[in-house]
Amino acid sequence: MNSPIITRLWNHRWGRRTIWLLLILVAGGATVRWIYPELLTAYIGVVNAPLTYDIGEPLSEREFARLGAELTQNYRQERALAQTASEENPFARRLKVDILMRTRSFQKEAPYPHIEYFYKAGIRRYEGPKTCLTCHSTIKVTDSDGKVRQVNTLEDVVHSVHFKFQSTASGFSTFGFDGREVNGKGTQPIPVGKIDRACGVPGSFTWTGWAELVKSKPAHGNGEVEIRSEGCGQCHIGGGYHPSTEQMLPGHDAPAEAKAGIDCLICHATGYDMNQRTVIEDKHGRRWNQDRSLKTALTVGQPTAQTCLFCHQHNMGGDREENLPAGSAPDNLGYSKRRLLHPGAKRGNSFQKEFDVHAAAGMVCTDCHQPEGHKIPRGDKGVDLVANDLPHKKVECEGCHTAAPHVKDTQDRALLNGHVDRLSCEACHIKELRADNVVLRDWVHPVWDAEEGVYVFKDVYQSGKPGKGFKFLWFNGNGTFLANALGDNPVAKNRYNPLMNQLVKIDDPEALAQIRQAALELQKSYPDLDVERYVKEASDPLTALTPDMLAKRQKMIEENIRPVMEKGKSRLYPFKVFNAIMYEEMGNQGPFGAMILPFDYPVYYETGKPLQSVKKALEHPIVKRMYEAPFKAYMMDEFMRYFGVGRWSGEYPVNSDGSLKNVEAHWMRQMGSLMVNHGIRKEGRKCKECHSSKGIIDFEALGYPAERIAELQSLPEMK
Amino acid sequence: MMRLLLFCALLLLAPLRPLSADDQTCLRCHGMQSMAYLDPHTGGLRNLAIDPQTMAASSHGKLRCRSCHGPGFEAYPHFEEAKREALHCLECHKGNDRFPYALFESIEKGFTRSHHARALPDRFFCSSCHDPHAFHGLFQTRVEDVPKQVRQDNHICLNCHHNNERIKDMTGRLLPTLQRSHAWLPNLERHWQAVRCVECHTGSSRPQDHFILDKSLALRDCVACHARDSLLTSKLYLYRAEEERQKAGFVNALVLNNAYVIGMTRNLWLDWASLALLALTLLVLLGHGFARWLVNRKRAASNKEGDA
Repeated sequence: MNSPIITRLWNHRWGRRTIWLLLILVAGGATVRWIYPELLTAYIGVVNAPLTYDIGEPLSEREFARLGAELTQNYRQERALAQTASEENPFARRLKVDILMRTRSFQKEAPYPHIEYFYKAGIRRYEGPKTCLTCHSTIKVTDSDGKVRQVNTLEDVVHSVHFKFQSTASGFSTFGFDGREVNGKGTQPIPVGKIDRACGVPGSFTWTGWAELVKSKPAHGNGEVEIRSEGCGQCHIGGGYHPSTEQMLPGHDAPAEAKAGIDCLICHATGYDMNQRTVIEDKHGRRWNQDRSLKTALTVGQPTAQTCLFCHQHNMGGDREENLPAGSAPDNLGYSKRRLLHPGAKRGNSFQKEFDVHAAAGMVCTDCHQPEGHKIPRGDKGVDLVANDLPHKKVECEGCHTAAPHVKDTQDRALLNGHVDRLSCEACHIKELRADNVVLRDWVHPVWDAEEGVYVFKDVYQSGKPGKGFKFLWFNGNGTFLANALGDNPVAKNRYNPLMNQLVKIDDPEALAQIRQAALELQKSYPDLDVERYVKEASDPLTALTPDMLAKRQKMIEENIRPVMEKGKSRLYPFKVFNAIMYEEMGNQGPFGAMILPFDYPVYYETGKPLQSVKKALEHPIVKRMYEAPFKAYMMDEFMRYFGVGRWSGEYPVNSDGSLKNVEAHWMRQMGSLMVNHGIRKEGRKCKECHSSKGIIDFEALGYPAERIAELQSLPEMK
Repeated sequence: MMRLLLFCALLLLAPLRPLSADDQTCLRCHGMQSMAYLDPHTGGLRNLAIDPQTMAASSHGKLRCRSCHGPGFEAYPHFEEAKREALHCLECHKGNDRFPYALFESIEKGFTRSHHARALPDRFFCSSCHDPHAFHGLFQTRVEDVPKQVRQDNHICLNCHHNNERIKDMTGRLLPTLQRSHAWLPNLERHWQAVRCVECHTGSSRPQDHFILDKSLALRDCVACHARDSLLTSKLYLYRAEEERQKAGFVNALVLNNAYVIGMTRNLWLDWASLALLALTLLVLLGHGFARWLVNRKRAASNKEGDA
């Protein structure tokens, strides 16, 4: 400080001011860069630590060469086996395989170019993203308008939905019950996506069910405890101790540890071993293991249908789909601490070749979902509030099949094409969903699953049939905050109202009989259960609303939702319908539902005591923070406005003595409707399946006037 | 005037006209806006959809479907022979008192000699250019605004010639792009905005000439238009000339007509530039005057002070 320049500057009036300003700037910068993230991390109670995986020692040159040769040999062997599959005589087949393996052109096939790349670059061990980024630090990305950009690969991944499971961008095509587009004009953008969207299918969300270890007592183990892995993190590419909570908060990026934990190989390596994907517990907490073997890393390439389905099988055909290809469930659940398999398919639209014509044609997911870098489009229509990286990029049948897709049936082709004006392709070409497609799920009355040895939710009603497991709804590409498809009858205004009709009533006698049957089964374990009341509430969830709430609901539908329904062009789409009974916090109740409370998986699965499980989940630091002022102002109030509740009460639903306050079990006030676009059949429906008085379409519920219904149900051509 | 009134009345009444039961039957299918199929021979899209509102507002709005589409279309599926048969527009249009005498005779004569009819016999009909379900007769579509008229008329040609799908659909092959085939023409875009295709591609100066020439015979003479007595005055600007004659009298119109050489000096930028120049000159003049007045006043005041 004795330096004459500084002293002279300090003595000068303006000099002193400049020095002060510089000091403040430096202090401010340091706060933003180092202190603020630390404070925030401490506040939300997340843990970050360097993530280590068992990657073994680097291979010697000889070991590497042997590994490369083995991989290539295995690939050729598999191809030879596939090529000779039609040979019935086993000995002849073996000989044919041998001949092929010795064939010159066959021997030249080198399916894994990275064997050579790694060899030349001297890579003898796979160390996660670091290894990939050695060569791929930037990638070329082609935009939808054909422009090519060079982007930083790591940043591209970290800001993709597959990493962050959230987006604050608009263009979700989702509307709040207050009539505003989510994160649209005039809103305070909030992070929405799987990270914070509670859902009745998994019964928890990413924070409270990230990586859990469950003590199961399967029947085959004779009472022995078997540790199982469970949680949302099993399907996400980040490897940390928690989801990417940091990216939710203002001015906060994902920490370096999380970036180093990205699992590149789960999408890019055809040889990925899902058996490695189980929960590991260390001194910092629990997280998901990854396959980081060099052997797997050498098989990298573009994602295939199977790599996508490692995770997405869960929401397509479901965890328990039969006859999946090698390397899928139930053979990939882990060598130990096996992952739990969930009953009841989430969407029930399988992407296996027996079920879907595109899968049968050998197509891969990215043929239709054409990525821009690591951003993968899911279409510009969607009702489920799951974040969308490219909300304006279309993924639709017309992209390949043109506007006149029926070409073969020369007599009816124009007529069939004519129907495209009113019907989506899916309406005819998805004939049914899988039979275990879940429609009603009861989380409040757990039942013992002897095979898995845990208590699980009870699927009260499963069906894959039209009108039961899925319904036909008008859809203009918009949906509500609670996943209800919106649209309107194009020829008759003010008659169609799914939020008071299709999505709140189950009146199919067969469905009612099954729900009653399930209730009777539940009654054996829960003797207090009133079967008739149970059936009534499950099939008519509006009974949970007071007359005042019901009136408010109707008013909000007419004033806020109907204008959104009338937007654009509506067509009929099939929607898988779903409802669940969960514990709700009644302090935040509105005409469309109340805040549902998450379950803690280990408590739920091990004890079968759902209320205790809720209590445990509510102790999670981030759930507590949600009930505090900063989160209320930052996002919860806005969340509740979309929800139709108005404002977030902010009242933590646990009393000082630890008992729950103001918590009740209810079905959601309407069924959610999830889009189904896979499980496409080559043959569409026959005319009479819809155009008959006993058809699968409920024309009245769709808002058609009586005379039009008569016309549609008795076409002169059908006689 | 009567025509205009009639047109207004038609426009007002047309959308209100109740559909006949027969038409309703047809529109059950043809009202579906995506009713179309891909022609297996050409790969082009064949659109079979009718927009009832456009139809009602068209010149044919009063007609029933059956008026043109014969008995083979009564039931579904329609008879194959009926589908193959061409429409018989001239059955109504030729020798009909509703239309100017001999107009359609000359149209027919021109059309049969035209390149379209010769190159695509049995495949090129009136309806190939004039969509009978949307067509507006000349008396309805004649517009005062020349660029609009140009756009409208050229749209008929460009509908096919600017659309490879349609060309492929019609001929089974692809033609070179218009930009390429008109590469010799300077200021291409401006020409297309200001002149109709038919000015150069028909053989006579009659306004409704349908004798579309083979491309080797099309007019390539700049001076035909860019001159006194421009060819355009007998074609595109014919109606305007007629009107001017009515307004200004024959002799005056003749005098005024060529004063501003159409096609040569018709340049909006030039117009605006000269206007701007004029305005600028005025502004400078006024400014100069104002400044002189100010200086004079000041000088007068200081003189007074000096006097005092």
